[in-house]
Parts: sequence; C-alpha cells; structure tokens
Amino acid sequence: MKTEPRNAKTLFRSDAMQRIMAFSALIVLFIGFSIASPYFRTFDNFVGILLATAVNGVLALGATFVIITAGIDLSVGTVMTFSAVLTGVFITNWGLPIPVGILGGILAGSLAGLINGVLISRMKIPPFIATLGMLYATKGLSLVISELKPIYFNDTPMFREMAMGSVLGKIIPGLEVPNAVFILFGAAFIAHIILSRTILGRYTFALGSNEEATRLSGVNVASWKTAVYTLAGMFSGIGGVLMASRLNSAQPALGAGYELDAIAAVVIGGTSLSGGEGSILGTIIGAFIISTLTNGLRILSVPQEWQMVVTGAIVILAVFLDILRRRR
Amino acid sequence: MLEVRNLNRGKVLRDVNFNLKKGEILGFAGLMGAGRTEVARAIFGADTYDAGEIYINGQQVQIKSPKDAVSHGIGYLSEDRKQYGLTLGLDIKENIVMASMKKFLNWRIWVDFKKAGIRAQEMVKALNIKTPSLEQKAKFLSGGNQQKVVIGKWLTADTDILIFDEPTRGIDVGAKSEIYKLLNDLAHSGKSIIMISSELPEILRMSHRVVVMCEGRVTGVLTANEMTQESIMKFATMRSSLTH
Repeated sequence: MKTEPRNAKTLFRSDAMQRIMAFSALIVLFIGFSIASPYFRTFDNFVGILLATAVNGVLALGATFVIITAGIDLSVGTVMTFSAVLTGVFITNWGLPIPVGILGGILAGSLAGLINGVLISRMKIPPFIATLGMLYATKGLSLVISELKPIYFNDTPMFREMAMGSVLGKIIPGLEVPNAVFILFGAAFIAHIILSRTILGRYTFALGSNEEATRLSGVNVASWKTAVYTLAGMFSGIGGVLMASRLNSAQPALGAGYELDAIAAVVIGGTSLSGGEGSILGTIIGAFIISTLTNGLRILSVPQEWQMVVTGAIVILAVFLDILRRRR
Repeated sequence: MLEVRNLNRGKVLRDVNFNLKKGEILGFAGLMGAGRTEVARAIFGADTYDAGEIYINGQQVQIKSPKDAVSHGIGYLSEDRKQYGLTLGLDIKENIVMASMKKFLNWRIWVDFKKAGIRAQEMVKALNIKTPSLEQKAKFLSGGNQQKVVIGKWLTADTDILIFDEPTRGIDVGAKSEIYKLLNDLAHSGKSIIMISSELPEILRMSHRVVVMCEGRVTGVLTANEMTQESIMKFATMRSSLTH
C-alpha cells in the first residue's frame, strides 16, 4: 500500500468536506438574506433564528446517533410531544416540583426510546416500522393523556423562564439571548462528547459501518443499539421539555412533521443515511440552515408552501452532493 | 485445550467431534460446503447449533453469542474479512481495539485513544502492517494488510484459541508467507490454532494434525505422518452411504 498524497480529490471525498460545504452554504444564506432584506439583519431576528433552531436542533442530535447506526427514528417528533404533555401533567396537574417534572418528561422520552430499541434490536423489527409504530402510539397517548387540551404552565412562571428567560441578558444587558439557545449548545456539546469520546459513540459508528463484523468482534450489538435509541428518546424528551417551556404549554396536537425536520438537519449536515459517518457539528449546521432558510424566506414574504418546496430541494441537493462525493 | 463433542446443526453439521491441543495448529480440510466454516461459526457463537458440548480446559462452556466466545478466549478470523472481519469505515486503531474495547476505557465509558494508539502502533510494527497512519480507514488497505489488522484485533483481545478461516485467501505471496510465519510463532507462544483452508499445500505445510470433513461429518483425523494429499482427499470425498 502506497501512501497517497493528500490532493484536492481526497479532500473532496473527506468527511469534513460535507461539513465545510454545509457551513459555507449557511454563510452564503446569511449574507444573501442580509443583502436582500434589512429586516433579516437585525439582532432580534438573529435571536429568532437561534430560538427557532433550539427544539429542532435538540431532536436532530438524537436522530444523528440513530442515523449513524444506519437506522432511522420517525418517532422523535411525537415522542417530544409525549414528553411535553407528561411534563405538563407532572408539573401542572399533579403539582410536582419543576425539576421533578422536567426529569419525568425526559425519562418518558427515554422510555419511548428504550422501547424502540428493544423492538428493533431484540424483536428484529425494522427501525422504520418500529419507530413508525411509536410515532402513532405516542401521538395517540399524548392526546389521551391531555384529553385533547393543551396543558398550560400558568401557575409555574419559573418553568417558562427556563427556556425563554435570558441568563446572558442579565449578565450583559442588551444581549437578551434566550436560555433555550444555550440549552441547545449545551446538549450539542454533550452529544459531541458522547459520540466522539465514549464507548457508546464509537460503537455507534461501528454498528453503522459494519454491524455483523462488530457482532463477530464479541460486541453485544443488541444492547448498544438499544442504548442508541434510548439516547435518541432522551434527546426527544429534552426537546419536549424545551418546547413546553418555550410555548408555556404542552400542545398535544403538535409534533408531527418534526421528525422530518430533524432528519433533514442530520442529512444536510453530512451524516450518511447508509450509516457509519456523521457528526454533531454537521447536524447543528444543518439545523441552522433549515431555520435560516425558513426565517429568510418568510421575511421575503415567500409563502409557507414554497418554503417547504425549497427545504425539500435543499435536502435532495445535500444528499446528491454526498453521493457525488462518494462516487469513485 | 478445546474439545467439541457431538456438535449437530440440521443437516449441516452431524456429530462433529474433535479436540485442539495447546500450542497446536489443527488444520481443517475438506471440499467446499463440507461444514468447516459452520463448525467454526458454531464454536464461536455466530450461529446457533442444535446439540453438542464444548469444553475449554476440561470445563464445559455455554457459548450462545460471539460475546460469550470472546469471553472464553476464542477469536474467529472470517474467510470474508471485508464483510465479517473489519469495520471498513473505521480506522486501523479502532479496528484493532474492537474486540477488546473494555481494556481501553477509563471509568468504563471514556475511550482511551492514547492507549489504543500505542497498542495499534505496536501491532502495526509487530505485524508489519503497511499504512500511512493509524487513522487510515481500513477500507483503504490492501487485502494482506487488512488481514493483518484482523489478526491484530484478536492478538489485542489476547484470546488463547484462534480460528483462522482461509487466512490467506486473496492475499499476495509476500503477505502469505508472513502470515504463515505468524501462525507458527503464535503456536510456539502457546496459542491454539484452528486453520481452515481449501489449499492442500497450505494444510500440509502448516498443520500439526488435520481434521478432514465431508458433508457435515468428520471423516478423518490425520496425524503429521499420515498427512498426504491423497489421504486427505480420500477422507474429503468419503461420502456417507446412509445419505444416498
């Protein structure tokens, strides 16, 4: 085996390339929209984009792990709603302390993820089907538990403060960036550390790269896969709590479609649907591309329907570029 | 060291009996489909079997998964290293520690990349793996170097019993002789080796004894002075009259 020089071609095929391209795309979007509209380039609007990314970003973190294992989780959106509703039940209906309610919501999400994991790794149900079932089940349960009505957090103003208050604004007046944004960055940092530094993260890549070879190395693949889906459920749980806090209510009808935004963010960020490759940084960039696009097009008065068309085109373009990159 | 008694799996394996001694290279000869790989996979827990007993150092062991096998000190190098041996998308370092990740953890969850790198470097040197760096992905290595990475993985796991399934398939001549030397060195150091091969010269050259299989049965066990191409072929084609 000869050592190949690191020429432009190998750089183009390197894993970092998709991230560089995604990041460049984000910059181009920002500059483009800033030139096109003075309303886009305001501080309040930037904060709006950051805030709009928070929930989808957190959901996409969990989806990143699942997609790196070459799986898919269609239930992240409705599990988010399920967690939000249960948080509402715990805090508002049962009057439990806020931290207990938050923990309960996150645990509910993790439990849904655990069930996904067991269905997929022990009962060998394809991830698409298992999580589709979980999508419907949690959607239904959210409606049943909430009796179709939103649950408000009006008795506990501190709960809303968690996401919408601004610790940064208190330290530096004028920089009123909501805490939700920092919760996203904190969660992303933790996800990055798990993915790159822990045994769970490394096995996540191994499972996606070659599950059978991993099994034949004596790795208990079923347990690790279950752990990955549980982790995805946990991030959906965090997303649910964040969503409830942001809206000051748990909206049981919300959540469908969020899984698609999350998957889109992951894919735009360069994580391969065929597994074994991906990064948290890419996913965060992907989530920002989607929310920047949505925000910018809205400011330019492009109808919402067309915003969807554009998002769809971007997802397809991102995957196509990824395929071009891999082609030999 | 290892003893297998009455291993059965459908029509694929029928009453397979053999034993493997410490420091021995036990050849497994036979025609394609004779059941050699199936024996290996059953012992390693990769496939389930219907009946049979496996003893290691005189103790009966239950092996239901590769994880059990590894914890009992058995390593398996598949004939299809790209599909079953390596995680091609990961780098050399990670492939080398894949079967023994527990040894490279801090506080049970944090991967000690430095320690893994040191170990991988040792393996690259000891096995003469030709690679620009430890971060090279396994898919970019040549066949011989890939096979050496798989060997490095099992040496790192430090299993006492190593099952080599067609260890030199698709490997150039130079790497082949390196692997032969390595097998001998491993046997001398006290590892017990099962070597499945379809190349009779390889079997004759390397094995201390040879188990010959035909249609899922062990038809003969030959000692060094009984081993010839003719005797092996005789047993390899010894079809059971009962099946016809």
